[in-house]
Amino acid sequence: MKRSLAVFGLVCSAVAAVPPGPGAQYGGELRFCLYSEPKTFNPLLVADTSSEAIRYMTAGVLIRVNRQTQELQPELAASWRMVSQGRGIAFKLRPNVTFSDGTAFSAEDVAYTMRTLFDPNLHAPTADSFHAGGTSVKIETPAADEVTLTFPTPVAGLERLFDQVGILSSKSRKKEMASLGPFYVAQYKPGSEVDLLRNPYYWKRDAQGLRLPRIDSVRLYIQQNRDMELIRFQRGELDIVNAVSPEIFDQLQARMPAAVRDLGPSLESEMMWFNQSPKAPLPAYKKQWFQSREFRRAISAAVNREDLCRLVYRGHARPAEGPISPANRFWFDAGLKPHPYDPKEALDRLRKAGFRLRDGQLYDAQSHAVEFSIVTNAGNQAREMLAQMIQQDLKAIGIRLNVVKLDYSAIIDRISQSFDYESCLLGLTNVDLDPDAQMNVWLSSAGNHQWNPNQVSPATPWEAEIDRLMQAQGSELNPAKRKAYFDKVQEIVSQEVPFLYLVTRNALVAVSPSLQNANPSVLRPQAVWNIEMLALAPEVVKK
Amino acid sequence: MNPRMPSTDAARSRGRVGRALLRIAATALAGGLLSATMVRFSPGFGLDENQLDARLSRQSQQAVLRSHDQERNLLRFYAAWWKHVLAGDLGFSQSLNRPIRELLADRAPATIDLMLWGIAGAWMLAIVFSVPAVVRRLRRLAALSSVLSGMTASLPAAGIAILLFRLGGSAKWMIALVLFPRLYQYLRNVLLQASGMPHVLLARAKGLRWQPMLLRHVLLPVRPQLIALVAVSINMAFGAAVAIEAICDIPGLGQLAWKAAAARDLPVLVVLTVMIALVTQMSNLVADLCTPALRSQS
Repeated sequence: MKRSLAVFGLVCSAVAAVPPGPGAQYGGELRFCLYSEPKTFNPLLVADTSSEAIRYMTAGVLIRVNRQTQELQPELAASWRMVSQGRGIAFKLRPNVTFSDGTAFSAEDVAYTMRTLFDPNLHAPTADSFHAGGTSVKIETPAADEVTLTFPTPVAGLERLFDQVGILSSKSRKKEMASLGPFYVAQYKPGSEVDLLRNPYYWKRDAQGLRLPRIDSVRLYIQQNRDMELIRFQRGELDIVNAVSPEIFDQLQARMPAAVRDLGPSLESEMMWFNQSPKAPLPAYKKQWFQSREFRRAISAAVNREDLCRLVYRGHARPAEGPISPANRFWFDAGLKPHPYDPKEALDRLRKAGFRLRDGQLYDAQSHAVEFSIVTNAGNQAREMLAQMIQQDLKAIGIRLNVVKLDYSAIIDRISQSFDYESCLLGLTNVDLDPDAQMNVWLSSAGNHQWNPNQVSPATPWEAEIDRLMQAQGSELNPAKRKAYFDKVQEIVSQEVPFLYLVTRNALVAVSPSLQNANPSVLRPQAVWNIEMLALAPEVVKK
Repeated sequence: MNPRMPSTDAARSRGRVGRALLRIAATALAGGLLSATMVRFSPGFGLDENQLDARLSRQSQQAVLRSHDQERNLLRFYAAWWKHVLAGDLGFSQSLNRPIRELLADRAPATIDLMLWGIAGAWMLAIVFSVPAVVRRLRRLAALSSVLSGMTASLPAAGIAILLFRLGGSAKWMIALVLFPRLYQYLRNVLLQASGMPHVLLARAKGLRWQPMLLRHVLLPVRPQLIALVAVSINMAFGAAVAIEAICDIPGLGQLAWKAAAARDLPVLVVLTVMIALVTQMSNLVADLCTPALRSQS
């Protein structure tokens, strides 16, 4: 056994030492910014964006969601098939794969990873996405290159969940720092940078059979200040800016037109909602407004989404249709349209609900002047501008809106604990393309059912219907049927407007002209989704 | 000849140091408790932004909430925290997912470097603008210095940081500019007072050159005040470093304080508060101890 391992190690070293072929540019350091401190390097515990980006570049996964095509592609699993009537999945693993520290990859590593992931004490979003309840997942390794996982009930969209599961080594002394991805974490300077080095044992080859990745190292600066990031990009100190603001995009477009790219709608949208929680310390008449469908529809009709896109996002956004952005190719409901701007319709709906407009001020049936506040997070300039523009729009129909800017922790307190708020404006980012990941938003019993969380039983018939549809799509394996169920959910949401979807932001990135093979995606991690294929221009490498 | 006995002086000095150390310990205790109280009762305490992650199950959300349970009873938390601190354990930062000792060790060098350069720069500016203006009675320089000091004093630390950052200036100069007006005003007043003393006026009337007059008759007598000013400038520099490190993304203690405040990270904020209280009090103690000795020498 020892001998075979030694031979295997020699083969891997020889493969790793394959010289780059003609036409391929190798070497150099790729540099870009993370916007917050990574909280973990353990791929199973990832919950924040920075750790997620590092996991993408360092961890090996069994199945990858291709960020360009949004289709599944085999990675460490050479093939897979669904078993046990959709309750399980059997993987055939890729042979001759080695961790970055030289230890061999086998089915035992996959089993170890899955056992660790489903530890009931882990409480990681990746584990919760499986809705597996922890202990009841059966993990079998019938052969050294085969793994079968069996869940107690069918898991909707099971295969794509493995895109988030970075495989750990069961044997390596480096624990989670041993990686199967194109890079491994070489150094971490807290608050300053994370340095990744090329994994010499990375298994992937390009179409010509040449080793990947092409770049030798990645330097990730931890930098929250976007102005500084822009300056450094312009100086040539950074190769990529993954999330460019519309203002900076326009500045860069004027100075470096070849560097910026508007990729179209992203998965990120802005939305507002009214507090409908019975626990809210609000006057009864306000609760009545917020629970009125006509009131919510009227507010939605009074907001000029086109103007929001034009003025706040400088045209790099589009009015939002619903919870799924057009960037999500399969799950987007093309039949859904954004609520059009129509102040007349808004007033008609309000009149229908008993409201009256007198001397430019709107009153409800009990003669209460219509006035409410909207909380949003301070420091987010775009969101603050959105709130101000909505304030102007509502003024036109006699409603006084007070904008309250709070820090993020205070907002979380208000919307999830004290419920002491009237309406809220926040952003939504769908990390997962599959709406099953939104189960904890749409189920009326869920904690993230923001407008009225943790309901014992659905407060309204339409929420009961959403519950039923979400449960149905979650237990259905046929994608077309699941899509039909979720389309219906989106239609109900569009009709009842518990969330007022405002705009879908475009994905804006800046890529240095010296970076070759860059083909940014709207999905995270945008410009580095194909990091193993990226190469730096020869003059940059020589520096 | 000094009429007091040396042993009496030493005993008094020891007593003074003892009382000062007690005062420092009391300040650190009270400061830490005050900080803990403010964080504990601030909105958003004990919550985590991960709670809004739609993927998290109810059990996981509750586990996130439970992770702060030990911090909810303030007095119990504070007593346990001191017990751990005395055993050498500064605690764990949940928001940054690292032991606080490691966070401090990683970040202190950046802040110390920033503060030392900033304080040196501020003193240099204050001396350049105040000494010639006062001692050589250069009215135009005095007017220019007052305008500059007024302008920088009217800007908050964050404002100066943003302005200099836009102009591509170094963070060390940002600290220097924040400290400059305070140091300048105080130094100028001290020098004005000292240079108006009868013996200085006499020396000036006798035609003594300004350099020896400055060193022997102006600066020498005001050494205690200047040392006290150095101690004060350390505190001011740390206050400025919080805003400047946060704006310029400098991985120092100031940025750590900023992040911990935003995340309501109770253990980190208590450690930083106690640390700042100790540094402030210790620098004041050093200045206090130096003052009588220097006065007697003067």
